[in-house]
Amino acid sequence: MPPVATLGMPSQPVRDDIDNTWEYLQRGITKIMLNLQEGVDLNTYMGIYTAVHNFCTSQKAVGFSHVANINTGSHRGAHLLGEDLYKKLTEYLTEHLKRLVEQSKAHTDEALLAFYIREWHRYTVSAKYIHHLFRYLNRHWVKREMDEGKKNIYDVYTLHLVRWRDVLFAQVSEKVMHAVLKLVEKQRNGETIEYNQIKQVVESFVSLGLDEGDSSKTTLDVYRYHFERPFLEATKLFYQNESKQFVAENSVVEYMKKAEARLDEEEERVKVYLHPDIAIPLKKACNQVLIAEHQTILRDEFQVLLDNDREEDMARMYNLLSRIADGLDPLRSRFEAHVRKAGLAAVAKVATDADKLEPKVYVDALLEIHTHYQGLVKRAFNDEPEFTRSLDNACREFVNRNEVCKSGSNKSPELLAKYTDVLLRKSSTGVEEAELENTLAQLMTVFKYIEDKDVFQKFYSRMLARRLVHSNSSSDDAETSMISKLKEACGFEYTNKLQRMFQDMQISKDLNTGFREHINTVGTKSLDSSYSVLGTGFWPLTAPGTTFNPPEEISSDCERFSLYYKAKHEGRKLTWLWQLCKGEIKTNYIKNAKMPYIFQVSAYQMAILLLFNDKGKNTYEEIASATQLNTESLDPSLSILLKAKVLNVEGGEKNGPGATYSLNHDFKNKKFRVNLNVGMKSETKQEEVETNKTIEEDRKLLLQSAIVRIMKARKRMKHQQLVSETINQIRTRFVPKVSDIKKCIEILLDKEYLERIDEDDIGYLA
Amino acid sequence: RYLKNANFDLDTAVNLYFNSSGPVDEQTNEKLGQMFDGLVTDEDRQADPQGNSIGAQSMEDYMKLLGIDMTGYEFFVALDIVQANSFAQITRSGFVEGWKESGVQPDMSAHKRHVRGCIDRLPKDPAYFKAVYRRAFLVGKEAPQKALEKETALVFWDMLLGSKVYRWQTKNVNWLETWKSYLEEKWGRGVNKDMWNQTLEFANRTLEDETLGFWSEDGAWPGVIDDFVLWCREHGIGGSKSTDGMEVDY
Repeated sequence: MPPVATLGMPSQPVRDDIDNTWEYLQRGITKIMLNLQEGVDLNTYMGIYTAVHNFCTSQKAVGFSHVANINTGSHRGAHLLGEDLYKKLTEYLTEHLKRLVEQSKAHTDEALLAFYIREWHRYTVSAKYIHHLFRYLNRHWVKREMDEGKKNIYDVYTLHLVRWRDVLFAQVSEKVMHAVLKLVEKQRNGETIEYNQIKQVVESFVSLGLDEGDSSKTTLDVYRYHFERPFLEATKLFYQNESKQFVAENSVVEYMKKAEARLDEEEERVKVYLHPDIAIPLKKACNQVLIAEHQTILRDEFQVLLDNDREEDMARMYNLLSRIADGLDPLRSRFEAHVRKAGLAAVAKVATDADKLEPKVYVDALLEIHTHYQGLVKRAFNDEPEFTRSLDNACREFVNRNEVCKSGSNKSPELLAKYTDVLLRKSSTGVEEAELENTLAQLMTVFKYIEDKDVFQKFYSRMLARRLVHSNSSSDDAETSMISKLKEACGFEYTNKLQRMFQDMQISKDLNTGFREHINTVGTKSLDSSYSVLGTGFWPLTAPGTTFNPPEEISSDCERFSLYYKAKHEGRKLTWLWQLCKGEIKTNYIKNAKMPYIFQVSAYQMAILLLFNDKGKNTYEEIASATQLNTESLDPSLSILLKAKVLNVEGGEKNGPGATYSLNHDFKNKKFRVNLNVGMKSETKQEEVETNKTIEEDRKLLLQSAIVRIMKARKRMKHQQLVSETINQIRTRFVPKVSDIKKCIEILLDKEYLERIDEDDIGYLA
Repeated sequence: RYLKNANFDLDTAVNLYFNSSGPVDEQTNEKLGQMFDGLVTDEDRQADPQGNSIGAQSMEDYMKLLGIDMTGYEFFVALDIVQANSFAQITRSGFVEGWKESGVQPDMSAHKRHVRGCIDRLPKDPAYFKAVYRRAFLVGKEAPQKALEKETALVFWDMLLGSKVYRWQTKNVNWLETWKSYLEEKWGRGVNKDMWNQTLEFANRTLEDETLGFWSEDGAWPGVIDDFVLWCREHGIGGSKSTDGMEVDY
């Protein structure tokens, strides 16, 4: 096949003479190397290709006639000849490149870059041509060598690259890099540069990354070592110097702006003319010198920014510090401390007199701080969960442990509950429904932070009971909404009793309707009465603290209701809570009254006043014996009547034993309907004290039942585990003290619900 | 079970096992019953016509017979053997069962030997000491109550923890006295079972480490012991020096 083709080429070298062949080839190659732009004519191209082919096959033919054993005589002749050609080419390239190195010495900086790029370009294009021309060598000799695992044998194109790398690059790369860095520095200093040059240098460096194991693949090793490394070093140095100087001459806030701009710039640089591989290390290097090395002053500035509420600058600082490892932790702890301090200060401001503190003022103070800093977290700190947690921690601190709480740790939940009462109670200053809902939602924010949720529950249920009994709740919808909020936050059990209270009121309504119908059918004359039947145990109410003999008019009606109720629900016991009963009486004795006055009175007051129907004057003792009230209930009831000038004390004596009372026939009031059923301040105070007392007791029970529950499930447990499990279970209600839990365990040990096994283990005794 | 009853003393347990069945059992029961009958006096019969228990006086006599010093820990050893639940009464069942479980011959001299053996074992066998210690609580508390009177407890601790078989004292601290004076000063209630039992555990630990380094606030000690440790630290007893050391360590 081959010999025929070669015949037509007069200038073909002797096919098996290496020197001859190489001389021929070299002429063509040089032409390609130096003057490729002039083009290669088909003759030259074909000539070279054929010469290579001929040379490689020449010995093969000889090789076939084994016996002849001409030339070098080895059966590996073809290989050796291929090798000669390969060697010659390698030598040629080395020489060519050495000349280029010499030439490069004439250039520096940008000129050198231009030179490098130009030569690189020319060289690689030529390499592709030569690669093709030497395809035969590639396909046979090179392939065979490589298959046999010979090192340092490459296909012709790769050989070009390797030579470039080893000869030219090794000597010039540093200078080239130097020029690159100089250029970049110029740009960093604000000058416009020809960045395409850099881009091409990068490409060249990347191309030189040859995988020694597999020439078809490239690695970034060369690029990383010769480009990335010095580039990063230069970058670091540049910004180190720049930032040091900048910080010395400018404010921290200015510096942050500068740093931010610089970081953006570097990112842009990667996109425009650097290899994407550098993006991460470059970012890291920049973060290190621009942020990490200045983090102390940044952090110190944070307090100043917080104090001055510089949201934008804090956002900037957050962005910067979020780029470095552990950069934000110190900010978080500072933030937490700051919020706590702000909260405490806000409370201290309103807490000048803790006893008279308005619930609304207190809760608003708490909320304001929370809202403010929540906004900050959202806007400046990207709503980051860790910052939210810091905020929560701080809020929990200042909500539960502040100036106001000093007088009693239950103060926060108590005031919060009171505020809900203020909101949910019917009042003259009507609040819009939507606004009310909004305020309740905000209250829940504070509620979330309250540790002693059981205290809130206690107060809330007491006040809810009061609202329901006195039917002065502003709206059922609002009540329901509040309860469902609490349920959502604390679970079914938490609001169970509250919901039962509502149910009782509903049932009572139906009951009253039924009773009314019953009375009408029986036809007895009766009072216009309304009864509420409240389940014992669900309502935080206790039987009256005094004996009471209700007036005949009332007791007969009550009697009828009792009978009616017992007929419906056999076996149920009714206890009258007289202290919560109220009614209206119409007067007809008052002179000068255009219309009869109507007094709204408590049951006790009613009993007292009705006595005057039979007798114009009554002594203290007579009243006491007729009503059967003890002094604790009688005295306040009387004193309100006296204060309102409904009753007079004869002879100006003091209210109390020995006094004689008479009706004031000259009673005057602007309103026709006069409310005399006003609670005494001392009463509510006392109620608070009582509520607080029951809390301690309830907690002990709650703890014990939690412990028993856990032990019943686990049978045997380490003491410490039991304690922590108990804390876990109880935490939603209040934060128990370890010592309290221990005490409860001891009580249960003593009661033999539990036993001690060994030193640390607690066992459950069924 | 035999092992447990014999407080894990193998010889006794083996004896027990072989004595526990068949005609031997019957015989022993009878013999022991007779021995108990011998202790019952007219006075006892007045209180218990069935003659199934003996009171304080007969008990004292019996203790003398056994050669027991009733003012010290030996008394509790004897009460433990006859499974007494009061230090003023021994029941027939406790007497018979107790001696049967001891596995020795049902006669006075063997019993005496056994008691001596037990007393000798006391300082050598912590588990046995613990059993005797716990017996003290059982005999010391008065029927409906669940706790020991404080005064009784203080005396018992003297008898048990301040004896030649167990001295609650370390190089620098006389713990028994410290504990007693702490209770005198701060403790107004009786001593319940847990407190009684844990006091011995606590005493054992203090003997190993008089700096109280073993104690931690989160430990399972009863509150009274926690408070005692804090009180000791306040008064610079035991732990004060080593707490400083511990703080440096942390």
